[in-house]
Amino acid sequence: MKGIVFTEFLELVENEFGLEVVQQIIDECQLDTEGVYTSVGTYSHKDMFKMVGKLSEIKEIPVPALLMVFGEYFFSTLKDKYPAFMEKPNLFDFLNSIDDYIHPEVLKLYPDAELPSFKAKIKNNAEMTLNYKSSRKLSDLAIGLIKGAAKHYNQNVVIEKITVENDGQKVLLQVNKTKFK
Amino acid sequence: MNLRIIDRARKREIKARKEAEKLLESKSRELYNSMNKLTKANKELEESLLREKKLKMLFLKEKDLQVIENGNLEHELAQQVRCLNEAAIVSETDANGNITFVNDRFCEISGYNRAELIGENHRILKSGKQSDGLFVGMWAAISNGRVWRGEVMNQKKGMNDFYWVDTTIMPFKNQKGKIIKFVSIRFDITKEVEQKEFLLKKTKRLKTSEEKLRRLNQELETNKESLLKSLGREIELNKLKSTFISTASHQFRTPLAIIQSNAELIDMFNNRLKKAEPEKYKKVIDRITKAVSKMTSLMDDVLTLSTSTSGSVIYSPETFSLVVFCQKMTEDFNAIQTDCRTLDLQIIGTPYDACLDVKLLSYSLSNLISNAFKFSAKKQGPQLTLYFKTTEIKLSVKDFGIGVPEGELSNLFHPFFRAENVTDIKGTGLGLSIAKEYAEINKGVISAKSNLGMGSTFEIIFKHDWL
Repeated sequence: MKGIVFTEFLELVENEFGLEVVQQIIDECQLDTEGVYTSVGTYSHKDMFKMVGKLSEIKEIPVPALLMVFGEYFFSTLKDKYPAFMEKPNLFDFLNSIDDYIHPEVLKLYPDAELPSFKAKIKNNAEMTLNYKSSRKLSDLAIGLIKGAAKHYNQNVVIEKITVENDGQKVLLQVNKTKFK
Repeated sequence: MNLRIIDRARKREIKARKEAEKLLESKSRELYNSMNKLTKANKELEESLLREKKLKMLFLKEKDLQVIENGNLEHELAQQVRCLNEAAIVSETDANGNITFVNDRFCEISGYNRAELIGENHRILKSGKQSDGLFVGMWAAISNGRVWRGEVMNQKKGMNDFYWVDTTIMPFKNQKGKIIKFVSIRFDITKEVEQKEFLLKKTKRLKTSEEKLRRLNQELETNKESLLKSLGREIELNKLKSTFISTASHQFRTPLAIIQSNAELIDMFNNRLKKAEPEKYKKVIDRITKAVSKMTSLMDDVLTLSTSTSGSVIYSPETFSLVVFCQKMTEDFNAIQTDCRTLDLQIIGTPYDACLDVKLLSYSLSNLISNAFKFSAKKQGPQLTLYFKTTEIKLSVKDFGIGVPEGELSNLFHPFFRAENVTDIKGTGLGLSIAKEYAEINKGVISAKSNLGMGSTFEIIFKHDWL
């Protein structure tokens, strides 16, 4: 997993809950890196799960909710860092370009990146589906990221998990545009 | 805030920074290496582009070849082009057909030097001896970007000498597909063409000779045929001659023997002391006279036959009544008959006058009538029938006598021929052949039909359109 996920996660934790909570997580998770992460490095995804699990335990917030919040936050970081991927005029076109354009480009930049499959299908002007597929089972993080994207495009959406297979390795998401939050 | 926690965070940040720096270093190195690779690839690309550019220039240019003989491909290509220049007559023209390059062999065969050719239109070499259609077709092909190949007759410098080339013209195009020049490769085929023409002429001559030979052969064939025919006639004539000689000598020998034996008898009578009675002399002299008269008549017949066959008989036809002629002949024959038999004359059809040689006809007819009496002794008298038809006159003499054996009918009209069954009956074997000769001089046709033991019929037919 790319280091940027770790650094951004710890930064979010520090901003929201303070440096003490960061220290507590690092101390109690027995991480291989002892909490030293750099955005350009690559680290074990297990560390991330340990840390998210620990935060949930400490703050008594469910993991999916944490992941969604983190995803939304992480999106704003990504869009600032990689404005080139943000050229699509609207949300659906952007989501549609993830699997076909953004991920292949990311792989050029980071050949060791392990990216989820994210097949998109625009059903009509107001509805599309995204088929999330990854052994990491991080569809909640994906939902957070979509929320972040929707915010960027100033588009209110409702995101639903239509089907969940293999303990979350395969999740069909439906995105509906809505006028209300 | 707990300072210890801040310090720990600071230490983590330092570590992370160092790690990041390390990663940055290695990324920098990677970048540097990639950069180097990229530069190298770029250089190679530029080189190959340059090479391509050079190759475009290289085609057939001797001085370019010298320059480009470095890299393997160029070296190989340069040698290929040299090889081409050694083997073939090569030239280039611009899109309008103006000469821009010629190789040494081109100069050699055309008789021009390079300076005289460069800038000239290729037409300078046109012989004018080939049809314009050939060149129209050539231009149509190459100006449309197609390769043209053909045999061309070119004129050497000095106008009077020509050479033949097997020519291939290839249009060269630029990247936009526009024709920029034509490259021609030629091979000298003058000798082959001359040989071909020579052979063609020879073949033509041979054909004429063959035709002549065929005609000669045909003539020979015709000559051979007529020769064979005349040879057959000669053989036939020869055969006739020898039969004639043997029969004639036999015919003459008999009376001669009679004459000799009777002459001896006279001699014997004279040698006797006592003279023989005059009656004996008379008898012997009678025999001699008879034999002489027989020989005379035989000689007459032979002479008659020989005059007629030698063509010296005069044919003088006159118009007369055949009926009267036949009635006269019947009366004459009936008057001399000693055995009470008579010739029975019949006339069929409406009589009309005929124009024939009377002497010849009377000889032919009396011959047939006397034969009819002679070979039917003690039988019914013969019949003479005169047919008057619209197209012909037929004289038929029918007897009821011994007839002619079947196989001998065809020889009946040959001189001296006598059938097997007439040895007891006197004759010379000349009568029928004379009858035939005279009938034919009279423009008639004589023929015979016979049944052995039943009788014979002889006919003379005079067709009107023969008369």
